[in-house]
Order: sequence, then C-alpha cells, then structure tokens
Amino acid sequence: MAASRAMINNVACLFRCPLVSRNITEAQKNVFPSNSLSRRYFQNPRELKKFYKKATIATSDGWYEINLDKRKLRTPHGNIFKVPSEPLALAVATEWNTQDKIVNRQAMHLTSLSNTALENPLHKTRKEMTEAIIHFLETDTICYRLTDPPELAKLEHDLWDPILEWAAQRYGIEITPTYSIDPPKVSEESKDIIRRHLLSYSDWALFGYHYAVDTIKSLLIIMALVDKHITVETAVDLARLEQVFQTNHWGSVEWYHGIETYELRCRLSAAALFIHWCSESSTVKQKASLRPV
Amino acid sequence: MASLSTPSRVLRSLARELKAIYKQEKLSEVPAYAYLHDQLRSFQVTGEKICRAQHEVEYVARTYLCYLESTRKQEELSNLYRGRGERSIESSAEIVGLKLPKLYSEDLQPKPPQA
Repeated sequence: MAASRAMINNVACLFRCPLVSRNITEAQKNVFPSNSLSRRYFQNPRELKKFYKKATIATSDGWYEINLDKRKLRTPHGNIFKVPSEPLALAVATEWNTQDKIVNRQAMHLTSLSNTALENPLHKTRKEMTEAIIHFLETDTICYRLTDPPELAKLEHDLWDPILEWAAQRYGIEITPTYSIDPPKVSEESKDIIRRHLLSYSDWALFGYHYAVDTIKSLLIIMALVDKHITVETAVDLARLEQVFQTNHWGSVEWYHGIETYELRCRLSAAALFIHWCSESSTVKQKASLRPV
Repeated sequence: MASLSTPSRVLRSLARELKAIYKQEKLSEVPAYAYLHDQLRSFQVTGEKICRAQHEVEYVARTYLCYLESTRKQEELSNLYRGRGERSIESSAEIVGLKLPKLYSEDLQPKPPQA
C-alpha cells in the first residue's frame, strides 16, 4: 500500500519536473519551427477564413485559371489551379464567391473534383479507373431487389426496371437482377461494352464518373444520368428508393434524410456537370463560334 | 409554347440563386450569369437542327440549378441543426421527462424552529 503510494508520488514528481516540461517545449519547437505555422496548426484545420474579396477567371494557354483578388488559386500541392473548360472555371469561381466569412471546402465539390483530376493524388491509370468504375456493376444498387414488403417490391419493379431496359436498348447491356445474396448475373460482353464506353471519355471526365458512381453506388443510374436520360433529382431518388419508401411510411427526419438528400444531389450534380464540361470541349467551341457577334 | 418558356423559367431560377450569391454586383455584370444567359438565349432562336443541343444546354442549366439549390439548402439545414456544444445535465434529463433532485445546500435547509 505504502509502496504504491510512493510510486504514485514518484510519477507525480516526474510530471512536475521542470526538465521534462522543458523537453516538451523543445519538442514542440521542433514540430512547429515557425511561429505562424504553429498558430495555424492550433486553429481548427477545417476552417479557413475568407481571405479574398472576389474570385474571377483568367485564361492562359487554352486553360482557365482562378484568381482570388490578384493571387492565383493553387492546388493542395501548390501547383497553379487550372481547368480545361470555361463554364467549369466560371462555376468554380462562383463556388469561391459563394463562401461567406469561412471557406467551407468540403462543400466545394467542383473545386475538389478539379483538384483530384489535376494532381491525381492516388496515381491511378486510366485502366485502373475504368476497372474501379466497372467494379460497381456487380454490386449495382438497382440489381439487388427485395421481395418482402410487396409495395416496395412493386416500386422497385416499376422504377428500376425502366433503367435496366434503357441500358439494354441503348448499350446492349444484359444484367439480371438478383433477389438473394448472390451477385446479379452480368455477361463478360456487357462489361466489355461498358469498358469501351468508359475509355471514350477523357481522363478528367473519368474522375467525375468515378466520383458519381461512388456517391450512389450504382453504375447504371449514372450512365443514364450522364446520357441525359434522367435528371439529378430522379437519379438520387432512384438510388435511395428504399429509404424514400420507408420515410414515406414512417416519416422523414429533416436533420438526417433532408441533409442526406441535398448532399447527394450536390455531389451528383457536381459530378454530372464536371463530366459534361470536361468531355465535350469540341461542342463548346462550336457553340462559341455560333454565337452572334 | 410551353417548351419555349421552360428555358426562361430555368434562367429565372438561376438568376435568383446567383443573386443570393452575388449580393453586391448587378446580375448582368456577373460573368457566370452572362455566360448562362448567352448560352440559353442564343440557342433558343436557332433552327431545328440544333434543337437537340438546345435541350442539352437546358439540361446542363437545370443540373447547375440543382447544384446551386441543393448546396444552399444543405448549408441552411446544416446550420439549423448544427450542434451547439454539449447539453447540460438538466436539459438532457428534461428531454426524457425527468427532473434532477434538488442538491443539498445549507441555505435551503428549513431552519429548525426556534425555541
């Protein structure tokens, strides 16, 4: 008993000892060499104060850059931020202009998508990207069906089947939905069709594609969305069909379901715009020449 | 006629969203709006051949509208339900309909009757 009390005292002594505390401050100095850096470190790292008044766009070498007041916007790695299309640059600038007092970076989906496409932080090749996207086909949301509440089963049949029919008609993709834990049946030919289709997109558009598919875990819905067959709102509703059904029955909780719906719409519309603007540069140029002078 | 009015309706909604973002500037001086206006207007009057492109432009405008709207609404909802630190013990007890027992304090003790 006495021995343990002595040990506690010793430990307490160790913590009070000035040598140890000095060591800690030395270590702190090593971690934060300059004063400004340490101050920045102790601030909330997710909060960035709005340090500019206005974001505008500028062109250089056929690329579009963003200027925050007179400084150029840079990527997280410190390179100059640039995008290949004018409407995308305008939308990114609008994103920066939307911010008020604090720059809420996690809500700026177009900026972060452009950053990812510019720097490719995970060093993915085109092949890896397409395979990652096709991987979602085997676990596609709209291919896993329920039988149990019959109303929901009917809803799935009525709303998801048209997408499957559309995919079969438009691209010749054959996929049979599953009612059990087995994955749905997909033929190798269908995968090849999708692979060829995806490889026709530019690198930038592929990043947007992956982001979109990852958001709602369904490749077929995204294909319909990118083909402008369905709207963003429909795509989100289709992806969370079971949740919509349950909230219609039990009531929706705004701080969960409402926020989630808008979040998904944000992400999906950002990805759809990104894909559109990054893959159809030729038509944009054509439009520019058609404009009355 | 109804199909003609749709792009202008989208444009009007977009104008409203952009106005909420660019509070100071005149809308016609905002480059993003000028671009949208230009795209939607110049494709409205072209011939039958570019009709598909018109729907395409309209579709993109609609998607952008959805992006601006849902970003704003999501932000509003998050701000509305943002956590304001921890609740006190009293207010947490109140949520489930309980009350805390009164704490012992010397002042609150009933004074013994004086003889």
